[in-house]
Amino acid sequence: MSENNIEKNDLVSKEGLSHKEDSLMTVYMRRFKKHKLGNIGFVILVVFYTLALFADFVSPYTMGWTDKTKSYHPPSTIYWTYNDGEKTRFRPFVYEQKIASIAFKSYGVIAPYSFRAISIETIPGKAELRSIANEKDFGERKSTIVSDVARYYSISQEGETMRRLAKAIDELEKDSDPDAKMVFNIGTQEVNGKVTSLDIHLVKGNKNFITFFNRGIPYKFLGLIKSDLHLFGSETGGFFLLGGDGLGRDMLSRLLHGSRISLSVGIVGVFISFIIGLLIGGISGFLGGAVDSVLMRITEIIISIPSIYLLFTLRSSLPSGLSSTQIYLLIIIILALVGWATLARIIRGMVLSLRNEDYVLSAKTMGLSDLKIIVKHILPNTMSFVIVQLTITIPGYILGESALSLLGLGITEPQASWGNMLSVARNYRVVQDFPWILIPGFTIFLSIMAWNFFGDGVRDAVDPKSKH
Amino acid sequence: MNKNKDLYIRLSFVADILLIVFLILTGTSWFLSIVVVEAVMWLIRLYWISRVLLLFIGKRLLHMIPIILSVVAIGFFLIQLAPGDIFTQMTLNPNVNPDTIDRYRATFGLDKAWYVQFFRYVWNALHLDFGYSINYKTAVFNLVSQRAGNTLTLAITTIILAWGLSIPAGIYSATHQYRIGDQIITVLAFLGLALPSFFAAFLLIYFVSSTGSWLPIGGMWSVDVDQMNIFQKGIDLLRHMAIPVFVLATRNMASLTRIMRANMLEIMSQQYITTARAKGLTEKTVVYKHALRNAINPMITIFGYQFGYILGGSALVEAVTAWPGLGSLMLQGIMSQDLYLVVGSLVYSVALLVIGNLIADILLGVVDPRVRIS
Amino acid sequence: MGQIDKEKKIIEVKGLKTHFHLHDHTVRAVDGVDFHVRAGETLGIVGESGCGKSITSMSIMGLVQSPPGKNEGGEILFHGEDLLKATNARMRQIRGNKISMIFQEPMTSLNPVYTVGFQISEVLMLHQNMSKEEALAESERLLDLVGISDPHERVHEYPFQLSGGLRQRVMIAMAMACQPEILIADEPTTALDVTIQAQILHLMKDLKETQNTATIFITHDLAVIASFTDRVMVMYSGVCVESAPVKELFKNHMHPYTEGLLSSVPVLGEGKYDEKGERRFLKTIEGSLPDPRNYPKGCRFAPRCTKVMEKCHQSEPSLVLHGEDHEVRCFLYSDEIKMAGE
Repeated sequence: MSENNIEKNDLVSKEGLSHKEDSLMTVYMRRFKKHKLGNIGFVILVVFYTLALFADFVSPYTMGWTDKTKSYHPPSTIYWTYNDGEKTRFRPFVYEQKIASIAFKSYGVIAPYSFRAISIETIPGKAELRSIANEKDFGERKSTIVSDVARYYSISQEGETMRRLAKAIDELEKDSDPDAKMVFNIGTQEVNGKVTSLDIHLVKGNKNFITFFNRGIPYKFLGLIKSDLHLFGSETGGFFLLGGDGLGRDMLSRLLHGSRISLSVGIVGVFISFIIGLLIGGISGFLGGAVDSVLMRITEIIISIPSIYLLFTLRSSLPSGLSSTQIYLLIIIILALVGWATLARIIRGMVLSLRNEDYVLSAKTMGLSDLKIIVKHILPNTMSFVIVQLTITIPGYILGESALSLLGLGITEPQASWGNMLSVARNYRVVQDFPWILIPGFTIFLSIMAWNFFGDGVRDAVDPKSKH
Repeated sequence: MNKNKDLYIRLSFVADILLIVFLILTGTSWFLSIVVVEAVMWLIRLYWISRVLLLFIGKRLLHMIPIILSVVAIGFFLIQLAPGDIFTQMTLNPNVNPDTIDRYRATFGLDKAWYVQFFRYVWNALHLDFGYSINYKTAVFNLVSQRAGNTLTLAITTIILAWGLSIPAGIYSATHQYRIGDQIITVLAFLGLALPSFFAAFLLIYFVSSTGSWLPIGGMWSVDVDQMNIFQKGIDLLRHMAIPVFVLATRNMASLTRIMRANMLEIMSQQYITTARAKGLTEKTVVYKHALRNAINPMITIFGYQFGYILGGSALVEAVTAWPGLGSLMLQGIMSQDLYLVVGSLVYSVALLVIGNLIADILLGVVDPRVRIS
Repeated sequence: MGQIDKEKKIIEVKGLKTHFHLHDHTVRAVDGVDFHVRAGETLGIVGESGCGKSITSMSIMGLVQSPPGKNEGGEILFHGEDLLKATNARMRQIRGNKISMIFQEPMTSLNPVYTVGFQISEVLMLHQNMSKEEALAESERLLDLVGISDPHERVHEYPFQLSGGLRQRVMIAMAMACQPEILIADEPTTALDVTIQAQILHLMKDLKETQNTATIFITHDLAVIASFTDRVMVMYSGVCVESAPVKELFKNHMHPYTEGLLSSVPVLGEGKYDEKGERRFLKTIEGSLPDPRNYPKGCRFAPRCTKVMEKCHQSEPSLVLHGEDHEVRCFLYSDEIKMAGE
């Protein structure tokens, strides 16, 4: 007998069969890696969600920052190299623009001899100082700047500080570098017991230089850690990579901050739907009988209502005037309530079919309790299909939130969400003149597509019947 | 089959037309006339043709009733949840006498408890009285019917366009699997599926308006539509429908093509297709006669869901292209807390959806002998 | 009745090769098969699953999926005409008409949405230009011929209303409708119950005698081979290893694989211990089929052969005729080596 065994093992190793068993997870991962589209989707999702997480850091500004003089500012073209008279080097910049024609709503670059004063510190409750002087005569420019600064800080124009300012402006004007700038200290102020200095940028010329890892508007990362480090940005403002919206807010920053809402809604919503669906579907399938009939009737009713209508109706039953966070949570709950029905049905179907599977019967004959059967035998098998279903549902939720916000029933200002950023697009004239307003639609599209790709990959990896 | 029966059935179609014309002349909307007459006449015809089917439909309709009632109850309940009602705005107006408001409330029964209102509503509904829209100052039934007709116009055109293009595309994709044509169609389908409907609408509007506004943007009719003859009216309608239908159809086509392709591929790998080839039939016969007939069946079930899908999807597109349909009506109702309007729209949409499913089930029975005989 | 015309070879297959080109390897499913069938003769093709017997028959019918499958050589001479070079139109003329095929799975071989009568009529209307009414009447007659009761009602029924055995009868009726010269039966009884199997085989025997159709019967069941066929071809790994008249094969089998096959059939009634008092084990052929993507050098059966010799690993033997009608591919009997391109 042992002779036979040795022979057999020889055959086994001759034919190259492996001895070790791979865990189910490893098998799934291996199969997923082969799916080209799935991997692309996965990468896009990782990028999107990482950007969402670090939105504060990556955005040049904050969600609410606004420059009222830059309404519907077109996307700034980046010039990568700068020639400072001697040599050309890598020093990206954009031009500062102002409204050239109100009728045509177009922007034009300000004159190269312009002078600007921009506040550095952020005074809570007060918009920042942005004074642009582009009169032809230098004296006029100087006086514009001085009076603007004086008015902003409520200082006397005749005073010591302003005279210092005038001298600094003269110095800067004499500087041969047409784009020179300096930091000028106005004074100090006391905020919450802390003494902070009030500084302004004095800038010559019409360029805004983009710097990396610069100190910009402070924020609280994840609401906990204070920081003011931004990945990139322009210290002197005027930098709108994806253009500005009607209120002069940076689209890119709002897009990044909005992604937190739009992308998370899907995941959290699906999670809640899943729990509800699991409970109801599982109980329904496992217990059967009257409980099953009643629960299935309820799901049937929910499914009978077109989801958008149900979404609207649920939303309308909520009181108005809620805070942003409350609306956010409520929207998630509404989405979950609309979506659990399909999930419950699927789970119930699976539980029903698995209940009769042979291995459940054999577990039963071995004497395992009902709960143990559910947990150890049924759940692991249903998990893979459920995960697939979840990845299919998430894009629907992202769409649902966008639709609600678009129509004004969802996330409201000042909180950004891709949906409500698009609500202005309902006016086709706005879209015609300022097409960059549609960019959030594009990101919605990309994220849905990424989830679809990813879901496809997962489905193929998990489906035992697919060809490999 | 009884020769006489055949004759009766043919004659009955004449009765259809007469009844529809009669109803339209008495002022009922065209949409309602057709729906009611057809429903009644087909029930009669079914009684002659197949009592089994009639029983089946009867059971399904009976099944429908608790669903609709529950939906009405849910709608009622949810609307009531929101604090205040449609008259709350008025209370803020100092010029309005609070007594007047109370009287308004009493007239509409808004001062009673929600279950009282609910029963009153159901009782009225059985008399086809779905209440009164406070904002629009018309009976809800007429308003909703008319708007529903507009939405259905969109839905039907979309279905015709989407199915008309997807089925051939799916067949082509399956029979030329992995070749260039199939790859392009698959990619387009992927894009179409992910494209949000409102975004597509925005893009289309942008494209149209920046290339010279050759299509009207928004609305259903031009301002001077009353001066047009019937032919011009038709063209006007089509031009206005173009953008919403295109947006709705794109989404549909994407999923339909993929499904059709998958179905065809699965069917084509079945043994009986090899048998058909072994009989010496041309590939064309094999694909269109043997494979297609089988691949269509699962599509029939989808057809019923399509209806609901489009109804749901159209709400958004209507809002964005200002198409006066059921979706935008309901949106209006919700924004202004117009209770009867909202509930009426909800009931209508659910009814349409359930009828759509019913039609799908009937079609499946007709087409697939396995369902019919078992 | 059932005369085998020794002179008339209806179909001759010479060196048939059908390979499947997948994206990173090629599967040589049929790699050199030779046989012939005479008028009225029944040829049995026997071998393990995966040895290429089905692909052989599909190649004759021209039903191999063209990518990825491709004919890589050989000839299939049907009355002298090389079917591998025939146009699609010509093949369609032949299929269902001159050469018919029935398949293994009766449950899935018929189209579920058309009546049985319609599916049989299709062949008649296509090849014999019958009208719908004529074809339907003929279909009824055919159903009766294959032993289906109440053919007048049955002809309007759908496949799902019939049992497996009845469906297979319908398949046979469909295949015989145009009185083909050759009937290819690819494991027609494997999926049926044993009692139904017997009925179907009985039916096929009757038809063979009344219609005098040449038959190629593919199976892995040796009992069927013994009772039903006139000649047998044994296939292994895509090649023919032995072919002989049936009685000759059972009595004087030559190839070690054939011997293995024949002796692995368990004999009921044999005791647990043999005459010497030793334990009897079920005889098997050790090992498994070689990988069709990568055949080993030399004879394909060598790794499993009990009588293997050194030269068997070096080169492949050629198919050699011994005696009147008995061919073997084995170095035990001949030193002829298979040439490349054979």
